[in-house]
Order: sequence, then structure tokens, then C-alpha cells
Amino acid sequence: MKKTILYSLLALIISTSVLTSCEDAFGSFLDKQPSNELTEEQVFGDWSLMEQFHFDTYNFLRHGACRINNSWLDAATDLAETSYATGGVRSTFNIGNYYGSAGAAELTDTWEHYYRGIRKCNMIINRIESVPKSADLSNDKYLQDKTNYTSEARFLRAWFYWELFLRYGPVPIVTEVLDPDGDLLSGYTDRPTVKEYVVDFLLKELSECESGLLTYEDAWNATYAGRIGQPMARALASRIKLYMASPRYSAESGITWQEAADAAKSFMDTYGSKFALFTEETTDGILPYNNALLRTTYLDSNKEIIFFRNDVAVGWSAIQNDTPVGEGGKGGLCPSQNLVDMYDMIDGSSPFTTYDATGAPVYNNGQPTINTGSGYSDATMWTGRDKRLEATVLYHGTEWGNGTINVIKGQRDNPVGNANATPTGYYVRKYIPEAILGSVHTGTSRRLWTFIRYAEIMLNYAEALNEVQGPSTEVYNMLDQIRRRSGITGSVANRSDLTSSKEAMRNFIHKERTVELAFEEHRAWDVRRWNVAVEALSRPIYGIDVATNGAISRKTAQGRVFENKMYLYPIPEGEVWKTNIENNPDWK
Amino acid sequence: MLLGFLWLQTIALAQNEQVLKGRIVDSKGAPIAGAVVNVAEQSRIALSDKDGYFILKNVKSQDEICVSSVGYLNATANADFNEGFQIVLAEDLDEYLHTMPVPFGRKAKKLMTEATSVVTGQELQKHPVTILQNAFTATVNGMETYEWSSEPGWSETAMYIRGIRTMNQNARAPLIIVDNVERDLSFLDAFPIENITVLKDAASTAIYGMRGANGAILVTTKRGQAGKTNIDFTQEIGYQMLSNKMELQNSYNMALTRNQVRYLSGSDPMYTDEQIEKYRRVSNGETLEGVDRYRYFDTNWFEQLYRDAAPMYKTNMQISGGNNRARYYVSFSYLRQEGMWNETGTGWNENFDTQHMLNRWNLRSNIDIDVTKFLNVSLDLGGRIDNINQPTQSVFDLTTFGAVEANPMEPVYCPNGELYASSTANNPLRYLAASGQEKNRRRNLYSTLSVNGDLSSLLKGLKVNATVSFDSYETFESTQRNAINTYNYDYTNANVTDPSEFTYTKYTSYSALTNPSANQREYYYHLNFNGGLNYSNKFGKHAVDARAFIRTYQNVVSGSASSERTLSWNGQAMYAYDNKYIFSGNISRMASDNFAPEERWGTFYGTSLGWVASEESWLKNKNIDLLKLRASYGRAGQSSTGAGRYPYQGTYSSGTGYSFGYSQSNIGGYYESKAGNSNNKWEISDMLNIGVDFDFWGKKLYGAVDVFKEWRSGILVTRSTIPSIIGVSVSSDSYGKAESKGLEVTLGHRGKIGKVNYYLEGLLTYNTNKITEMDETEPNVEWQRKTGRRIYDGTEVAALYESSFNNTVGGWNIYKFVQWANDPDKVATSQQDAIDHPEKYPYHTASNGKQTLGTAVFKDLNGDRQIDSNDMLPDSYTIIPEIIPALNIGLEWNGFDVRAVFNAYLNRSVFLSPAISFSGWSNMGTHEVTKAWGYYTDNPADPRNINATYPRPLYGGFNAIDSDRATGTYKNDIWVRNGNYLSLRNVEIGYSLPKELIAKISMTKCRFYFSGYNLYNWSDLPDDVDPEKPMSYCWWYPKTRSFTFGVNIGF
Repeated sequence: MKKTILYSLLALIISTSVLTSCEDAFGSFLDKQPSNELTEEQVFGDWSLMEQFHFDTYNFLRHGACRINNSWLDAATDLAETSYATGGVRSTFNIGNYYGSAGAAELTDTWEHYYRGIRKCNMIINRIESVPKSADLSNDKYLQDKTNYTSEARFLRAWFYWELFLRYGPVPIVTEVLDPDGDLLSGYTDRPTVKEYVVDFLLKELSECESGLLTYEDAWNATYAGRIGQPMARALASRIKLYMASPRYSAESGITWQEAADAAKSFMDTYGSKFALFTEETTDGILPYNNALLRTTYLDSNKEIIFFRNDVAVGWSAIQNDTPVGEGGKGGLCPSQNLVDMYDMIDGSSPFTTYDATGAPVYNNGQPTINTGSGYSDATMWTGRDKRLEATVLYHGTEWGNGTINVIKGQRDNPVGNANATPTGYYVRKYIPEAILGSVHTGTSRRLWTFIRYAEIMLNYAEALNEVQGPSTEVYNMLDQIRRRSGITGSVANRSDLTSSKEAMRNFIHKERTVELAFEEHRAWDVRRWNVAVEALSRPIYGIDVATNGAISRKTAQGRVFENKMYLYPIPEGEVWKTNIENNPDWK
Repeated sequence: MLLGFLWLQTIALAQNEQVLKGRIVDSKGAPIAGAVVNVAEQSRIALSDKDGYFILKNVKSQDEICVSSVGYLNATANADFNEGFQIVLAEDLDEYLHTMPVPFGRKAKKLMTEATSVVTGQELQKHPVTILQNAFTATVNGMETYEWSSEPGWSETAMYIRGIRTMNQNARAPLIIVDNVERDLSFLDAFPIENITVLKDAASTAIYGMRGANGAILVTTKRGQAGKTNIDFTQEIGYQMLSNKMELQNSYNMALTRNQVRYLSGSDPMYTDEQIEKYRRVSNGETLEGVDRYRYFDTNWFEQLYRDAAPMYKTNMQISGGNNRARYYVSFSYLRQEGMWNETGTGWNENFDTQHMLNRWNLRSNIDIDVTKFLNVSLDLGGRIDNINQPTQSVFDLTTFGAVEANPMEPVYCPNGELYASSTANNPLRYLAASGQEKNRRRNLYSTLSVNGDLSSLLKGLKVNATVSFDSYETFESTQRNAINTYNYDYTNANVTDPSEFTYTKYTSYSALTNPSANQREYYYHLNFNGGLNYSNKFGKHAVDARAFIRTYQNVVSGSASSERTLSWNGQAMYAYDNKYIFSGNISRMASDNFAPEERWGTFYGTSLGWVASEESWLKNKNIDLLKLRASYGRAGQSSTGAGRYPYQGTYSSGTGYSFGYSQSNIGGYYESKAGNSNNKWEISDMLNIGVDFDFWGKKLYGAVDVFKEWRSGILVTRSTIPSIIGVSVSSDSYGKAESKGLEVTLGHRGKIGKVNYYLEGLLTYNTNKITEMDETEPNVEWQRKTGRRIYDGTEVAALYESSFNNTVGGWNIYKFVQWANDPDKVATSQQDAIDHPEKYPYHTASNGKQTLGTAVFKDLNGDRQIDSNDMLPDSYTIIPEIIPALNIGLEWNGFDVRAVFNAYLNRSVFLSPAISFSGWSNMGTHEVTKAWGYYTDNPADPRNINATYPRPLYGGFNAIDSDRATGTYKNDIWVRNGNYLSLRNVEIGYSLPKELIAKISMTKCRFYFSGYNLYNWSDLPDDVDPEKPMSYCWWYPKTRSFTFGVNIGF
């Protein structure tokens, strides 16, 4: 018995010591083996993998075409409507349903999308220093690249934060790489002020990163075009300052119109020789205007594009959604009569007597008051207008693609029973490369998405300068350059109705900015910063019917809902639940 | 090897032989009749007569004589040719002292203190199934199974021990151990199995460390015994038939339906009265005259797709035996299982057949050799070959497009005899004839080498053991395709007056069978090592059994560069005093390479106590054979969580990349696909089990009761508190918790009335669970909170039918049906209207606007007068039942034996597809729609409007607010139904030839039998729906019932 206990005790001691001390007895058996998963150590331990990680961030720049499922952001403004009854802006934005999921990415994952992009930038900024230089890289090149990549990441991060700001207002600024095991809430549930967010962070970042970016010469050549270059930082700063000087933000930001004007001027002074309005091609006013977007900077020497997303050439599938149904398309973006009414006459006069701060003519029962001196008549509403109308909008009778636009009920572009027939009587032409339609829709074309082009800088300057000093030659000069490119003959200086009043000139500039930058994702944010979004976006969307005899009649195409709370999107529900972050006003 | 043994025997026979006479008696000297007597290592036998005498010919003087008889221990003696030679057999007094397999050893049943269930291979053999698991539910207490797929060669059955105990659907599978090595169970056949022990509580599985949390299924294969050479041969011939085939809508019904639906939608009828009449006549089986014969059809596409019965063959041969130096066991099986497809289609082509065809060969050879007195070596080899031929066309296409969604108004053949096919009647004959051949080949090898050393010279009872095993599995596939000519014709063309005037259109064109394109599909191999010390000894009344060993496991799977590895240090100990008080414990310190280095190791332990009350002197009584109380508590883990390799590390993936410049040469991009989480680990199961085993009056009343409670923790959940601003997906966190509880009861009775031996045995399994922690965000409405409720997977029923085998058990938030909307005056125009006039509008509005007549009015749970997702209630069960009673009854009389197995699945919900009443696609019905819909006439008082079974169809789309395929919401109790059913699982009838008769040719058994599986079901579900797998006829290979005739011969 004694022996038993002794043996048992011995066995117990042996097994206990074996169990506790022998975890390492099998040495490397449990060590992580080479495997096919790529890890952080690998990516940030190899210069070339890190580079690829960095360049992947460019994919977080979103293309604007069909941004909201089948619809464009501008179809959520008074400039257009979509033919899609569901799955786009009509069942979300245009009825005030900002929590709707039909708008998909724009409403449900913008928040997460940009924060994902921001994390990538933060990783480059915070970790590039520890990435070993690759052996075949000269020291100079290594230092240069390191500076460039860091600066690009800072620029991209600023852009992502800017995109978030437009939609959600100031949101938590994350500049570190958050650890999922760490504290994710305490630092990031308070919302910064506009000044902290925009002035102290975004503008500072842009000014600091500019010098470290590629120079114009390096970033605009055939090899690197599309990389972030120095002018882009300056251009984005111009836009941001203009916004910050605008009525909605000026009190909070403290940025003045003078600073906004200076920002635009500084771009023109510093980089003006590199950039210009695209005026080549013919002088009919249509091609120069359209090709300012469709020509590329590197292949076609288009000097107007400043900041763009560099995509590969696309074919029919990329534009099918937005082309007329007669062409086989689906009318995803159908311009409104509201937009059509904003274009001037080719001689530079305005077709209507009064315009408001939204840039649109003042409507009485859906009808603007005609300026009889302009020669405008509703019966011939598309004749004798600013060429940008024809360049932007496909209206009845336009020869385009493989046919002539015909929106008479039951005819080519308005067949009965086709749900995608235009609800406004128009289809879009701007940004749709006609070349693709050739040879039975087998053509291809580049269609890079432009974020900033030179015309915007000029409009920024004109708008800010008018606010600072009222109508002046410098303002007229900016506007005339843009208008003449599209064939307008008259000069703004000769428009006594405008030159006499800062307010009239302001409304005119708002209108000019709207038509020039139509469908480039400016309208939604411009009307907000001008504090006129309720007026502009709750106004009905007008359209036209063309009778069998060709008679044009105005109609209300869609009613719209826009309330004050819609100045900002609601923060996604899930995020509010998780973090208790303060939601935007009046959203619950 | 086998031949060698036979040859040796033959030689032995040739030497000088005599006739041996003797007598078999028990310890009291009473004769034993019917004892089997043979010379060691031979299969010739003699039986003792009623006075115990036997005569055995051809015996040599040195021969060892072996005797066996039921109820006695086996005995051996040297041949003695003197008068009065007698062999005494000792009574086998206590069957509870027989040992049963336990992890890494064997243990007397009496000393078992953990929760286990045991089933023998012999019992499993009685079920004519091709998948062993299908026989478990009715035979193993505490186990639930669900047959996902019945396709020959691809059958899959999910198993759960004590229910679904975790929210992680990838972490529910029990551990399968075959002869102490982790292996798969699928496709193993029952013949070589000695028994299967199911370990149910954590105390018994703790020894498997972080693999044991879901319980373990311990399979032990047969081994050779010294003594008689046994030869066992089985041949079975059987048939499989469909267990469910819904009645298809005939064309008369379809025409009526279409017209009525169009009328109710305000459209003109589709068929004239004259046409309706013709459809009525063809649907009654009449043959129409003239051209009408080629115009009006009532085709039952199921009849074109399936045949009535598919043959099945099974052959098995087992040989075992040996002597004190070496023992062997060999089993060889062949299985051939054919598919249910129509032979007209599969045999269409001259040179090849497209039928499903499984040919399976299974080999098992276990050899034990005592090299010296101190050294024993075992070599176990298993091999399996599966050759599967099947149509290249998928089963989904064949069943769904071929039959379920095909139009009964279209013909099978054209008037000119060509095969007919169209986009709305794909014709299963065409699919079968033009489906080519897919061949799958599986090659499996299982091998184990085990060395056992006896160190008794060092310390009595000490042994050393080392086992290495290597398993390999490979699959190859080749596909060949072909096509045939099919046509359709304008049978609806009213201008045709003579069949010769029809215009034919070619639908598909002939193409010859292509050359095979072959590839290796997948492979894996396991490498296991196990080595350590055993100590077993008795000191008077004290018995000690202890073991310490190390175990390693490596698994390489195709597509993965690294092998998964685990390492564990393990100890087991049992102490018993006088077979009365038992203490047992085990511990495993285990690590998996899949977790962060500092988080790898976990300690798992189990402990149990037993008290065999029937051994106490004050209770010892011949009426009480066993009374044992036991309790156990333990902790086991589950490291297979589906989290992938190295979830603690962040992973990066290649992204779309980006192009710069004119050349646009793409720069490949990388992105962070997942941020690691070091708290992504194994699940932990802490389980308490209390049980009692009893046997009174020699099995007149016997059984066992086990109750358990499990606290599960470390369940992977997606942390809802991680905000999106982190900017990356984060690995799941081992944060969730759940609790399960349940019981298992076994109650049996054996008896004898005259010459009839009979038995009754009832099993009851019950378990239920609830989520106790899952980091849930605040639900919209309180009743949708998941925490505190039963575990189920997702709320989308789609998960159940979009894949044939996906481990998803369902369970749904559902709308509660109140009545059909039958009265237009009670429909409000808007939610506001419904709020303002509750007295006027008893119906609640649908979220998408106005309620359509004939759709369901659901219960408005939050009282806002509108039915939307807030009115859903998660009160359904899953398809895995919570309660399973089973009853096993049988009797024997004069060589005849009969038995039946019943079981029921209770507390269970199943999903019925709207295809029950009509298919969402192409308006083809699978049922008598006119009896079933919710808006039959305009009269609100029409009982057909009030008592309909299913919602109203709309022409061109069946929008019945929540029963419509297009909106993806079948989430209501019209379609999610009570899935309770009672099943007659198995019946077997056999007849054994009298022993005295067959012993003359040395045969020990010869039995003929008939057996049936999945014979009949009783449920509340529609007729012709198999309640275990109600929708299988619709999308997948249908569930089958099978019958077998067999003969089993033993020498």
C-alpha cells in the first residue's frame, strides 16, 4: 500500500513536470510555417510590396458615373432625374429617404469606404520609415520616393476626409493606425468643429504635403500621369477655401472671401502657365467643351485637367446605362428642364428676366418670365442658346450616335412601356464618349473622371472676387474666357443688368458655375454651401413633352422632397449604435 | 498473407489425425448443449449435444481445442483422446465487466463514469444505408443527424452530439476518432466495426483537448482473436426508391389556374372553354383524335426524369483468426449503388451511360504480432476506392429545370418521333441523354503502425506504446460532354389541320462525346503520432489505471502551403476501490499552431466520480444486476472554428491595382483584407453531467439516464462594437457564450414468453440551447433580441436551399399568419388610413402599400397598423430536432427474428418552398393549385377564399406580400412549418437455419433476411413530402427509401 502511494506520487510528480516543462520539447513543431497568406510584416518589410500597397489606395478615388447605383449624384439635384424608378436616387435622395439602401454604396458604405482609404494612408504615413530600402534603389531615389509616397498619402487622406465632410460634416479625424484590440471609442466619438477639421487639419495637411508631391513635370508625363502632383494640392485648397468662405461655413471657419480669392489666384499665379482651358478642336463650342473632359492630359495634351482618376478605356457597357433608350441605353441620367433653363443665349444675353441665388430662373407656376429682348421662345427653346446646352443635353431632334433623338411619345427614345424612357424629355450627352457608339457600339474611349479642372479654379476666383469687391474687370475676364470657349459672342461687361449689382452678378456666377460644371458633382455641394439647397432641391423637376406635331410643352416631371436636415447625410445607423457618436441634426 | 494461413492449415490436416470425443460442462458439472468446439486456427466445428457430448474429427495429438458458448467464457484445452475428456466452461457472470473502447484504451463497463452511448457494428449493419451516420439517430442516444444530400457517392449527413451548442456553424462537428486516430467517418462501412462509442460529456472528451468540445465518436474496428478461424460472408441485393415525389399539377389544373388568375388580375382568359375541355380530357388519360393529339398534353415530367427503383448491391467477406503469436482480421467490401434517373434518358447513347453509379471497394486489415513476450506490433491498413460515374449536367438542372419547372402542357416527343425540348420544357430525357459523363475517383489509404512494449519486468503493469499513422486522401475528376438533336414544333398553331403541317425548329444539335478533361480535385494527408506510458495494476481491492502520453497531429490540405498542427501532453488516471467507488480524471495540455504564439496553449481537464451501489453488501441482491450513480465535470475545447489560417495575424490580399500614365500598365495593388485578432481562439465547453445506469432482474428492466448542462464560451462572433472608422475588417472575436441543457434516457426490457424471446428498448434525446452573450447591437424591437434565445443560423431561408450541404440549420424571424385578406372593404388605402379607422379596417397595411386580396394578413406585433420587419418573431425551431424519441422492438422465435425501429423528430421547423403550391419561375405548378390559393373568387364569403392553404398567385409574378420569390421573403409561418414527424426507420425480418443442421458443414451461421430503411413517415406536412428533407425533390437529389434482401454465412 505504502509502495502504491509512493509510486503514485512519483508518477504524479513526473507527469506534472513533464506537462509543464515540455511545452518546448518539440521545439519548432508549432512554429508558424511558411504559408500563402501575406502578412503585414511582409508587406511593410518589402519596398516593392509597400509601393503596391500605396498605389492601391488610388482605387479609393471613386468614379462619379453611376455613383448611386444607376444614377449619378447630379440626378439627386435639380439638374437631372433618373429613369430608374427604384435602385437609384428616386427611391432614396429624391424622396428624402437618406437611410434607404437602394442608393447602395453612396448611402450605405461611403462612410466605411473612405475610412478604409484613410487607414491605408495612415499606414503609409506611419510605417514607411521602417520599410527597408530595396537594394536596387539609389539612395536619392529612395529618399525621393519616400517623400513622394508620404505626401501622396497625406493628399489622398485629405481628399477622403473632404469627401466625408461634404456628406457628414466634421467627422472623427483618425491619423493613427487603429488597433482592433485597442480602445476604439474614447478618442473618436466627439465631433470636431468645422475650423478644427477643415482649417486646422485639412488645409494644413494640403499646404504641408504640397512640396513633397511630384512636380508638375513628373506627374503629368506619359508614365506617371494620374499620380498626385503638387498643383492638385493647391487646387483642392482653392476649392476648400471657397467653400469655407461661403455662407454656410464662413462663420465657423473664419475663412474670408479674400482668402478664397487669394487661394485661387495663387494657383493661377504658380501653375497658370501649365494649365489652361481646353480650346483646341473646332470652334463650334461643343467639342472643346466636351473634350475638355474626354481628352486626356497625357495623350491629347489637354491642359485643363488638374485632378482626375486614371481609368482604362471603356466600351459600351460603361455608358449603356446613361444613353437614350433609342440607342439601346437606359436613361440613367436625364437632364431636367431646370438645367436647360439655366443656359444663356449664344449672344450672351439671358433668356429670362430674373434668376435667384440657386442660379436658376425664378419660376412662377413652373414658368420662368421670358426676357423678350433675348429672342428666346419656349417653342424654339433649344435654338440660339449657349453651345454648352447642346454639348450637355440631348434634346429632341439632335443627331447623335446612330440616330436622331426623338422623344415624341411612342417613338424612338420614348417608347410606350419602356420603363427607362426619359422622364424629363432629355438625355445626357456630356461625359458620354460618342466614339464608343461607332461600329455598332464596339468603340472604346477613355473616360477619366475629373475631380478638378482649370475652369473651376477660374470660377472659384470669379465668385470669391465678386464677393470681395463686387463686379470688376477681372471677374468679367474669367467668365468671358469660359463662355467664349463654348461660342458665346457677347461679353459680360456689356451686361448692364449684371455689372451694376454684386447680388445680380453673384446669381449669374452661380448659374455660370452650375452650367459649366454640370454633371461633375458640384451642384449638390454648391447649393448647400450657398445655403440655398432647400430652394434648389425641393423645387419640382421640370421636363418637356414633344407632341407629334413637334410642339413643345413644359411639364412637372417629378416632385422633390428636401428638408433642412438633408444638408448632411445621417451617419450610418450601425455606426451610431456602436459608438453613440452624435448624429447630424434632426437625424435619428 | 491470408493464403498463407489457409495453406498452413491444409498442411496441418495431412498429419496423423484421430477422432476426438469429449464433453462440455459448466462449473457445476452440468452439460452445456450447443457449444462450438474447434481446433485452434481452424474453422471446422462440432456442436455439443444436449448432454454436452461432442465428436470432432481429424484432431492431432498436439492440437489445442477451443470451446465457446453464449453465456460462458471461452475456454481452451489440449486434445486428450482418453475416455472422459471434459472441458469446463466458466459462466460469464457479469456482462458489465466486459470492456468497451474508451479514448486510448478499454475499460470495464461497470467502471465507466462518463456519459457515453454505444452501438455495435452488428446493429449498424442491419440498416440498409450507404451512409453509416443515417443509422445513428435511432440507435445512439444523444445524437441528431440530418441527411443533406442523398446523391450516390456524394451523400452527406450532418451529425450533432447533444444538439447545436454554438452559434458558430463551422464549429459544430463532433470529433471522429477511428482506432485512436482522427479520421473521417463518411463512407466507412459497418462490417469491420466492432463498435462505436459516442463520448458525450466534456469529462470524457477533455483528453482530446481543443478538439473535443462537440463530443467524440470513437470507432473501433474488429481485431483477430486467437482460437477459431472465422469466415463471414454477406451478400445483399436491394433497391432504392424515391421517398418523396410531389404530385405535379396537371395541364387541366394549370389551364384553369391561369385563366382564373388572369380573371382576377383583370385580364382576358388565356384558354377557351373548348381548350379547357381538351385539357381536362387529356388529364384524365384520354387520347385525343386527329391533330389535337399533338396539341394537348398532360406530361408528368417526374415520370420522364426518374425510374421506379435503382438497384443496390453489397458484398462483404471477413476472415479472422490467429494464435497466441499472431492474430489477423481482414474485411473486404464491395458496394454498388445506382442512381434514380430514367433509363430511357441515361441509356440514350449507344456507347456510354449517364446514370449515377457508385462502385466502392473497402478494405480493412488489422494484424497483431507478438514479436517477443515483451513486444507487440500491430499494423492496421485500410483502403477505400470510390469510382463514381454521374451526369455532367448538375442535379439541380436535372430536377429543377428538367422537371419541377417544366410545362406539363408540352410534349415529350414531336409527332415525327424526335425528342421535344423548349425553353419552358427542357425535357429531362434530353438533359440525361445530353449530359455527358463525369467521373470521380477517390483513393484513400489509412495506415497505422503501433508498437507496444511490456515493461512489467521494470514495474508490474507498466507498458510503453508508440503509434504512428499516415492517412492520405485524393480525388480525381474527369468530365466529358455531349449533345443530342432535339426539336420543337408549333403545336399551338391553330392553322395546322394535319400533323404533317407542323413546322419544326431545331432546339439543340448533336455533338459527340468530348475527350475527357481530367484533373486532380483535392488531396490531403494526416500524420499522427502518439506515444507514452500505460500503467495498470491491482492491489487487493484497489485498481489503478493510468496513462501519460504525447500526441501530435499534422494535416496538409490541397491549396494550403502549411500544415495544421497540434501538439498535446496528456494524462489519464482511474482509480477504483472494489469495483464500487470510482474516480477518474484526465488532463490535456494542448496547443495548435493556428493561434498566436503566446495564446497557443490551453489546459483541458475532466473528472468524474462513480458509485456502483449494486456492489454494496447491503444492496447486493440477485435482482439488482447493476445500479450505478455517476457525475462528471470537465472542460473541452474546439479549435476548428472556420477562422482560417492564423487568424491572429493581419492578412493582406492583392487588390485591383491601379494604372498610371498613357501605357496604363497595371500596378498590382495590395490591401489589408483583415486585421488580426489575438482573441480569435478555440471555443470552450464546460459541461456537468449526472447519470444513473441500472439493470434489474436480469434485463427485465434496464437503462440509463443522463442529464447535462453545458456552458459554452469563446464562441467566435463579429464584435458589433468595432466601429467602421477603424477602416478594416476585423477577425471575429472569441467573445460569445451559449448554454445548453438536456437529457438522454434509455429504458429497455427483455423477456421470454414460451419460445419467444422479445425486447423493447426506448431512447429519448432532448436538448435545448440559448445564446447568453453575443455582443448584440440594440434590436429595433425587443422581441427580436437574439441574446437569450435559441441558436439559429441567419434569418434567410435562402441559405437552406441555395446549397445542398452548407451546415446551416435555419431558424427564422417569421411573420405570424392571422388570416387571408378576403374582403376588399377591409383593406385600408394607407397606414394612416388604417390608424385613423381601426374599426373599419381590421387588416393591417403591408409595408409596400395596399394589401392585395388573397395575400396573408399577418399579426401586427408592435401595433403600428403596418406589417414590416418589426413584426417578425424569432420563434421557430431549426431543422435539427430538439427531441428525438426512438423505439426499438424485436422478437425471436424458432430461428425467425423480426424487429422494427421507430423514431420521431420533434421540436423542429422546416421550410416549404412556395413551389409546393406554385413555382416562382415560369408559372409551373407542382401541386393542385386550385385547391390551394388565397383568392379564388370575388365573393369574400366563399370558403375557398377563407380556408385557402397558400397565398394568391398573380399572373406573371406571385406577389403575395411575404410569400413571393422576387422579394426574397418566405419568412412567415405559411412556409416555415412544424417539422415534427414519426418515422418507421427500419424493419428487419430474418430466418436463421438451425445450428445443428449447418454445423454439419462447419457453418456457424446462415441467415436470410429482408430489411427496409426510411419506410414510412407520419407528419403534418403535405403528402409526398419527405419530412426529413421536404424540398429535396425540388432542387436536389431526392431522398430515398431502400429495401434489401441478404444472406449472411459464417464458418
